[in-house]
Amino acid sequence: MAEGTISAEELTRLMDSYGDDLLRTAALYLGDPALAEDAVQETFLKVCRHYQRYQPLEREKAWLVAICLNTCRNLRRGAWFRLINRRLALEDIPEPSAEMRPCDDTVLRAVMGLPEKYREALLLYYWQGLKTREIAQALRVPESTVSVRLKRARERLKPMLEGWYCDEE
Amino acid sequence: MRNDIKQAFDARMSGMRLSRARRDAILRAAFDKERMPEMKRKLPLGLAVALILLIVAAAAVAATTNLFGLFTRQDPAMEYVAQHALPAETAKAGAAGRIDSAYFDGNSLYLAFSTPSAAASLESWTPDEAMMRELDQPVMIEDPVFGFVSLRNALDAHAPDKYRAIKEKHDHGEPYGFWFSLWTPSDHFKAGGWDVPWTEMGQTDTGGGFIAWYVRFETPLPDKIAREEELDLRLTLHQQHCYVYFDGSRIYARAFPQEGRETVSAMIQKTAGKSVTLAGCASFRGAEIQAEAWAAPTEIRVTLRHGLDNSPRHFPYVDPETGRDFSQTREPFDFVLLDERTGALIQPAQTEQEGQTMRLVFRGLGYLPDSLALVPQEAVTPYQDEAGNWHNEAQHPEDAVRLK
Repeated sequence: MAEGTISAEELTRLMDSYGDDLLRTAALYLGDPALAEDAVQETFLKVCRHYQRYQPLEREKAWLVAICLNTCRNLRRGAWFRLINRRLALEDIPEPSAEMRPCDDTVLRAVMGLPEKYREALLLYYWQGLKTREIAQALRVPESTVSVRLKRARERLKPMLEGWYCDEE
Repeated sequence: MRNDIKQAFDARMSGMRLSRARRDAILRAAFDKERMPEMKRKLPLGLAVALILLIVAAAAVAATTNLFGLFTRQDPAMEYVAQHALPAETAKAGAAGRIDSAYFDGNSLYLAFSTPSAAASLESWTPDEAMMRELDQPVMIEDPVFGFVSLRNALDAHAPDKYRAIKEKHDHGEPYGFWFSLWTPSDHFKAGGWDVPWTEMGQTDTGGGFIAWYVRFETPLPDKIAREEELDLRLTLHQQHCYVYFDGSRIYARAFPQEGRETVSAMIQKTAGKSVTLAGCASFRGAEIQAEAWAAPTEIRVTLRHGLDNSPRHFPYVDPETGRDFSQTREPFDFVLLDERTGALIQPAQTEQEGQTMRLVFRGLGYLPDSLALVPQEAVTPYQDEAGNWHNEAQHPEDAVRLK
């Protein structure tokens, strides 16, 4: 990522590369696909405004995820979230594309059934491929807390998925 | 596990893509110097909405000396705050809000303030075609009339005619619509010019024409704030206009940010805080446990050093509220706090583990304890009373780590 102001081409590249991932992460975090689109839009506008703050040593995906989660946190503190309590059910997620339709949702249901703090750490680590240090920055918690949450998430998943997956970590 | 989770979520979420229209809108907003699109807050499509019941009887207002008194239910720490909070010396009140009182002892900071009730501003409204396009997503709301339980209850109690009119139309499948004004605080609270992070916020429509709010700020407070004898506390309130429309079968809702905003401020005086430092040790499962605690009526922080095997194991535990059995869930070694006055077992609000050092934060007991008892999670046993309600009990209090 170049220094200074952002060009339209660069912004387009970022949206092409990470837009879908950010949208999906925001949807799971907010529990609302429509609100997630707003959050992603605001994320990219923040990227434009603060592009000069980007440190080339940071992975750009981790930087974008951190901005996106911060935006989601602000939205969650907003008026609607104080009036209603929401839980995203799998049925609320738009249907997958036909060629990627999963044949078994055991893993999905097990992960979605985890307490939120374990689920978000687990998804950022295993699904979005962030490192624990990057997750700690994005969630604003110590790295040790992320490690503990990942450990607890794995421990909770194991009995639920016993015999289902074979690769252990 | 990585591949299983990645494949499962990649596949299931593949239908969710950032649309071309949205990408174009972002590019326009970023480069065409157009007015930046407003953040739209919509109620979710197709979500089963569990509603928060926040309304408290108006009579409760009269029984309390400050607004914290509306939030004390089953929370001894908040009861203490309600009893010891000082009235705020309002420096700047606005039409939309007023700081009522605060509790500040150098360690904890709580704030109570009020904003106008949304119910008081509610008016009938019928959307035109342009507005219907804005309200394009129907909202699934479980409530028979509409989803805002606190608003509904406030209307029912204080504007029964409006409530009846809406309910009758809904029950007969006739279209109706209304809008109301909602004032909400910004995320940024300033004390002495510094941003103070908060961890918990609650609200309730008092039924008296205003909404009461409380905020609990993160502890420990930043040094520069903790040292002050008085704080210049200010917050900004933002206005939203919220629209709800029922077309006879489906409900649509949308909120739009308004230009209206105002800052309210007050001087907060420090009150003498009470705290104790406690320590103790115990032997458990053949290992030594050393514990230190800092305890105040509003919060208890414990550090435990132990030589225990910390590998996760099965612990019996049933959630008293849901009756859900967690006994097959494997958990690492953990502790709960036993309130020896009431027998209540209190789960930690926050846990951190580094090697064999464990840091636990509990909500305060509402009084200054002269001793504490920490019970290992594995010594807790669930039982069901005759009414079928679940409780958890420390079966072997002798296993508790006692701090004095």
